Amino acid sequence: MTRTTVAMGGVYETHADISGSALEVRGLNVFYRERARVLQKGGPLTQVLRDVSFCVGDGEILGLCGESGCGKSTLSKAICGIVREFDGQILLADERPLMVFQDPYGSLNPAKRVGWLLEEPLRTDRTRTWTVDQRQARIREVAEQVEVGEELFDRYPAELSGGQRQRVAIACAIMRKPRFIIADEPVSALDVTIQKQVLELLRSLHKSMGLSMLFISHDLRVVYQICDRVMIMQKGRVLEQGTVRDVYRNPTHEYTRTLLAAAGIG
Amino acid sequence: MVSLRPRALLARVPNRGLFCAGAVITLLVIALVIVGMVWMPYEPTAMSADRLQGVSVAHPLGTDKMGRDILSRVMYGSRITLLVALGTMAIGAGLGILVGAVTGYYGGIVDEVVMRVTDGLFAFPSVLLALVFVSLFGSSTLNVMWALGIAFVPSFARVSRSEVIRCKHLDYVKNARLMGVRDVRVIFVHILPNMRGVLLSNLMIGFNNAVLSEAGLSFLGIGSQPPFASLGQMISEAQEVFFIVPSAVLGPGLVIVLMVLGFSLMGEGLRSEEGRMA
Repeated sequence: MTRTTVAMGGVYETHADISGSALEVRGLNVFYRERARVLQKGGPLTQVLRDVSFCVGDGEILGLCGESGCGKSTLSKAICGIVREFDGQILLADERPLMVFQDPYGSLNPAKRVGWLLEEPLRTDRTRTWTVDQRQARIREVAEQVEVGEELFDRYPAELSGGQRQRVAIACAIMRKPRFIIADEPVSALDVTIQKQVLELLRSLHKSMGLSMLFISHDLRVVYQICDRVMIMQKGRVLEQGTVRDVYRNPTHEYTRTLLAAAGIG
Repeated sequence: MVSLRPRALLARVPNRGLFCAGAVITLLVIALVIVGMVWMPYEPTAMSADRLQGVSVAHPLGTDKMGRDILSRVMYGSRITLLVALGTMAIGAGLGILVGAVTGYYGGIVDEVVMRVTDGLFAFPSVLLALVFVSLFGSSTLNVMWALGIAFVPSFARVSRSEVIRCKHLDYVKNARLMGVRDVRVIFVHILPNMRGVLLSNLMIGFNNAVLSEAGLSFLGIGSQPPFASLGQMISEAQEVFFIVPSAVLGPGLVIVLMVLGFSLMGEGLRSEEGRMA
């Protein structure tokens, strides 16, 4: 296990001993400081996350919902180990997770071909070395899993459709055989038919690899389609969490009811 | 896997007509230089009694006031000018891109300091800066290269810095950093290729400025020393005989014009509306 203690006394641990879970977050408080300019001290601290605790079980998809600015992206950044100023514990059963971003037009390097993009996670894997043959075999295997044809390897991202791009982005995220990834609004930028296909793909990966996921979305309908459990956040706090069925049937907070109504469910 | 076939690369150039016109002119100048390396009609420094001859079969561009063949001197001089311009670009663009990319990526106090220094360098015209450098370290072709190269660093540093800053907040860079890609690789493998359109057209423009600066400096008598020719120096020497042997000025002048024109057209051709390669 690799344990890092960050500023403000937070603990970030990979390969932690948390049996049954892929991720455990305990009492997480994240602060942002106004960016320091030269010869100036940073501004006052603003608290973005307040006492956030939850866990993602092994092989579970946890949906994370809330309006923009509620701390969803801060939470995902903290879990990825980018945010260094926090208090509380982030325990990961595996390596630092990779992310699937919302906009597949921005998350793939426009100057590189698909084949190169798929290979990059393996070339830069610090936990093990992959030989050229192993890399080729692995990218073929994953490409087949995410249904990206080998004829696309020679293309640039600009020559792919939105759905194909998101498949490539997902392929990159699962290339190192992780047990847990973060999907940050992975289907919000896609049109409805493609959304369905990508969700189906995530679901099948979840089943075949036993992949756990933190699935961030503002659309409760999408969450309903793919998640096992859901967590609702507002203004940096967790309002409620539970199985999708429970939360959707008996929302305990007014805010959850608003979200459900907005999605046309409640 | 990357296709480097000329046809495939050319297909991605936004304005092919301009680019090709520029490439033809540039190849013409390069051909002149290469022929000059293998064969020249006369020794460029050999004097003879045939002083101030006009255009003739024996001397296609005539002779100067010391009886030296101007065509041979133009061939030799364009070699020097091209060499200095290339060296200047290598130093200026190399250092500039490196400095700009690294300071832009890390930001912070180092970035502030380096950028204020380049602002300072910007305040001096590049020729003046080169003059100071040459008067400190002596006048030689190599020193002129370094002097102009250093004078060219700020403009490249600015461009690459702003491009790196534009790119470093994009998702694909964040993604690479999440994957644990090392900073050097992020800068040079992930970000730099996305700047190539902007950098390429800046290189072309920079090259033009380098040719003109070198010509300007040698016109002022700095750089390669007589009897060895450089284009600017030939023009400077020939100005008093302009009305006797016009080709003594027009010959080297034409080569300078062609060099600059060729690279300008190529640079223009590479630029699409947004200023980067499609």
